[in-house]
Parts: sequence; structure tokens; C-alpha cells
Amino acid sequence: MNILRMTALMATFLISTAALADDDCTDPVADWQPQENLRQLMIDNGWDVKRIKVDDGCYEVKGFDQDGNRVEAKFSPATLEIRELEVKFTGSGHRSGYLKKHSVQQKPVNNKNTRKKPKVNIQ
Amino acid sequence: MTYRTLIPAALAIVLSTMAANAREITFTTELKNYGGDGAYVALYLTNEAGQYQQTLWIAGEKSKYYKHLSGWARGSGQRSSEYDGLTGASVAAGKTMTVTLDLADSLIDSGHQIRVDTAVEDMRDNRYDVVVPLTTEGVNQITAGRGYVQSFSYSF
Repeated sequence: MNILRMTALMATFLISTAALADDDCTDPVADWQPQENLRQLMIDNGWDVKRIKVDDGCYEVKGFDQDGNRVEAKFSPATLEIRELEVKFTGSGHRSGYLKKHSVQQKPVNNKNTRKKPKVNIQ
Repeated sequence: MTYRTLIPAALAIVLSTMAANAREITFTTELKNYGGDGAYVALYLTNEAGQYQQTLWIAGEKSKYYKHLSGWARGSGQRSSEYDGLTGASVAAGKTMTVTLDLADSLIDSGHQIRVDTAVEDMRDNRYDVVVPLTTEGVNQITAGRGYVQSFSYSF
């Protein structure tokens, strides 16, 4: 009985480890962007960033979005692409249309320099 | 005249107006042989009073060093939205960087200035290395910089 329970426990542990491993970021450290870039990106998106830390190889941001909702998000440290977003609707913002609104804003925040990229040559 | 002929005509007018409103400008910045690492260079536009208006180019890829381009940093607030897509490699000593981009006609001969800030690791930072008015008269005029810039000119 004990062996059976142990086996079941081990199996659960292995499965959960595998599941957790899938959430890890595997960007090479050499390619990581500074946390300051991510902070600026989120500030530009209207977020009030309270904390950025490294968790499972990802950047984890805690703070409040522009509507005052508590948010927790994970980003790839190299590309700063969002991987996970958790929102607690506690602020003044309404939840309807949230996904639509944020899917637009998560694109590169560049709205000022929409003209074509300059041609640069160094000789 | 029917709508069918009106619409392409209107479109042609709009397109030609758009083309006429912007001008391709090339900025050429030659650096001195200052004997140091690659220089970070900020090329930006200010109004007559020297207030920051727009980033044109930032040479140097690590944003943590951008604060050393102090004139630009103060004006732009170092917001990434100001320089996204407008950055590239730093410029080595003695090299010449040419930046070609489209600028609105309204910015020319209207008191706007082009400013260049430069910085090199372990050497001094040069706020306003170059300050030149953006005018038709100024085309191809060579200006010497106060810091690492040997010469600066623009043409359109």
C-alpha cells in the first residue's frame, strides 16, 4: 500500500515538475534585456510597476495597470514578450473589453516613430 | 465628372501633397580620432529655444548608457517610445556616420535646430557637441563639433 502511495506521489511530482518546466523561460542570459527596459515598457503602457524580479528564468512584474487593477505578468527576458498575465479586477476599470484593449497595447509601444526607419551607414 | 474619376484624382492630389510635405535629409557626422571606445551619439531635433522635439537617431545599443547623452536624455526623458526603432551601433573613433531619413518640410527654415550629444566610456560626455539650425542655407555647410565630432553637415 505504501509503495503504491509512494509511486502515485512520485508520478504526481514528476508530472507537476514537467508542467512547471513548460512555464520556464529559457532565453540565454547573454540576450537578456535590462529590467529597466521592461519597467519603461510597462510605464509607457500606463502600468504602475511595483516590483520586477526573476522567476523561473522569466521577468515577473507586479503592479497595477492604468485602471488600477492589480496585475502580475511574466515576460521573456530577451524579447520582453508577455507570457502570462494575471489581473485582479479591483480598480475603477471595467473588465469588459479588457482583452481587446490590452492586446492592442501590448504591441511595440512606439506610436510616435511610425515613419520608416532611417538608413544609417558607418564608414 | 463622376465619382469614379474624382476618387483617383483626389487620391493623386493627397499622395503628391504627402510626398511634397516630407524631405529626405542626410546627416553626416565624422568623429575625431579621440582614442577611446566607440562613441554613443544622439542626433535629435529641438525648437528655437532648444527644447527637445524629436529623436532622429541614437548610435549605441545599450540604453543604460543613454543618460550620458545628457542633453537628449533630459529632453526625451529617455522614454523608450522616443527612440524605439531609432537605435543602432555606436560609432568608432575616426569613423563617419550617415543617417538618412524623411523630415517634414515644416521643420526646415522654421527655427528648429539639429543637436548632437556624444559620450565615450571613461571619457567626458559632450552635451551639445554640435548645434546647428535646420535651414536651406545650412545645406552642405560643415560645422566642427565641440567634443568628439570632427565635422557635421546635412544635405537634402
